[in-house]
Amino acid sequence: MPQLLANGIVFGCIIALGAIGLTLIYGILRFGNFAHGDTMSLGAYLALLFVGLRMPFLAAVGLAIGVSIVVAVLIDRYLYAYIRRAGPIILLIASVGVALFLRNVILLIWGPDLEYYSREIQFAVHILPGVRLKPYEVFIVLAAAVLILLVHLFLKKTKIGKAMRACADNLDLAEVVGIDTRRVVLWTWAVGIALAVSGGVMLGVENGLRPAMGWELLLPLFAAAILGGIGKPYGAMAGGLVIGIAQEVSAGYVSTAYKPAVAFAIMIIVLLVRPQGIFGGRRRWM
Amino acid sequence: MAILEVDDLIGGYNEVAILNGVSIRCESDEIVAVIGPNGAGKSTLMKSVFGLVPVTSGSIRFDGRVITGIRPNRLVRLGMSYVPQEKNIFPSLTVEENLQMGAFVRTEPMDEAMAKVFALFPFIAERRKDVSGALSGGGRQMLALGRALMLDPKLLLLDEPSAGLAPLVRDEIFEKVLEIRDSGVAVVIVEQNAKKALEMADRGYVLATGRNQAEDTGRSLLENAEIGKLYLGSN
Repeated sequence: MPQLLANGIVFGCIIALGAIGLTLIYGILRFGNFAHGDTMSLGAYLALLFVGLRMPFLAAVGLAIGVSIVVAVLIDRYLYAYIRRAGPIILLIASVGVALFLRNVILLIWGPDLEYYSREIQFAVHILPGVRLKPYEVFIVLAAAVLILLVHLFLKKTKIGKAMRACADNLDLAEVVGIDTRRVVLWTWAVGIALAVSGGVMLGVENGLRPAMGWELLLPLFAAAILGGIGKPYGAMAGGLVIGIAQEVSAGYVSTAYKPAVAFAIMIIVLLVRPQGIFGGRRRWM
Repeated sequence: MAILEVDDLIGGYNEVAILNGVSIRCESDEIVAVIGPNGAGKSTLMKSVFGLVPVTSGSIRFDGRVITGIRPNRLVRLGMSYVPQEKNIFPSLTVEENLQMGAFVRTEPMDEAMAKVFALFPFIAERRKDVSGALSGGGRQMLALGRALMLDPKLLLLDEPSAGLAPLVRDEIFEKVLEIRDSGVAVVIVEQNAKKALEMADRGYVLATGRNQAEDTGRSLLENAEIGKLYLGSN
């Protein structure tokens, strides 16, 4: 049980990183970004490319984040910006198209086979009684904690972070007050994609890289965002951990093939019982 | 000198004209009240002045320059602030953060502006660290007013600041509006509560079906028997 819990925390951190971006984009740009998972894959593969060019790992991840942000901003400017007024469903469908496009570009360049950042084999070590984790898994949890702390400081302490929360509250009022909403949109993509790529790389480190890795993560991502109350970054952090732990712990009782079903079941129950999310409260960011 | 001159304004949403030729003027040291029945176009007038509703014809001059069609984020820089009728605060932000958003376009420190707002609204100062969504209706309205003052505007547009407030709180808000004018900010106020608004205002306009019906000092409009019968609910 403690072992399953630890696995769940590792996986939950990855989901949380993806879900924060998903929820921020939903809150400010007002649509469910179905390309978010595939952006995670894209970032992970770009990092693979740069690692292959013998860059140090963290530098490769940093560059992958940078390139992915540029890609996302270009897609926003040359696709989403034109249909922003057409309504959330049109944007959502467009993002499904972007998702397919990204996944097939990855397939075209890197092929369908499983890829690894490193062929080196790491052995799990005891970190607590009854809990064995591989060294890189400990690193994943620590790195995720640092990133989440940074997001927290960004949202609470910086002017643009506060403006992001204001835009998520009421976009029309933000315009009236004089907030530069275009700049806020850029920052939303930057923060959301940076976290997503970090999560994608972590997933690649943990499970290897496949073109569909991010797409398959989309369900737990949405489940986490909805669980936390969509539009609420702090909810998404907590929702990610809950979904991650629930999926891994379920593996102790039912076949691991049911892991995605667990996320799905949680999402449906939340939508039925508490559609504003567990942490939604009265439309406030917890 | 007139800070705001609206001349023969025609406009509305989706080609349905709500304003059919409205003209108003506001001097830089006065409160101008715009009253009239529901659907007269009062709120639409405010929104079109602030660039939120398309204008088909007519002109809007602010501080001597034509501002027809200029976006809100530029108007804010020019010295005009607008307080919408409802949903006029960011409920998940603290009181202080709400005020900071009011000065978003400024890069220099905003301590001084904030101190001025806190001096005008001591109640807001006490709650500065609280999440603003927890404020009462009156508290929210004061916060919205305070936020609109963060950039030291020359003109404040208020859309029904007393809507949904208890009489005592409403009077307090009106009291503050007078103080704001005395500090050198021109105010255009749209009100459902016509009597109260005209008592406070230097001048008033009566609007109906998107047109000017009457224009006079606040006092004279109050004493005008016909206006009283038609728009103020008196016999």
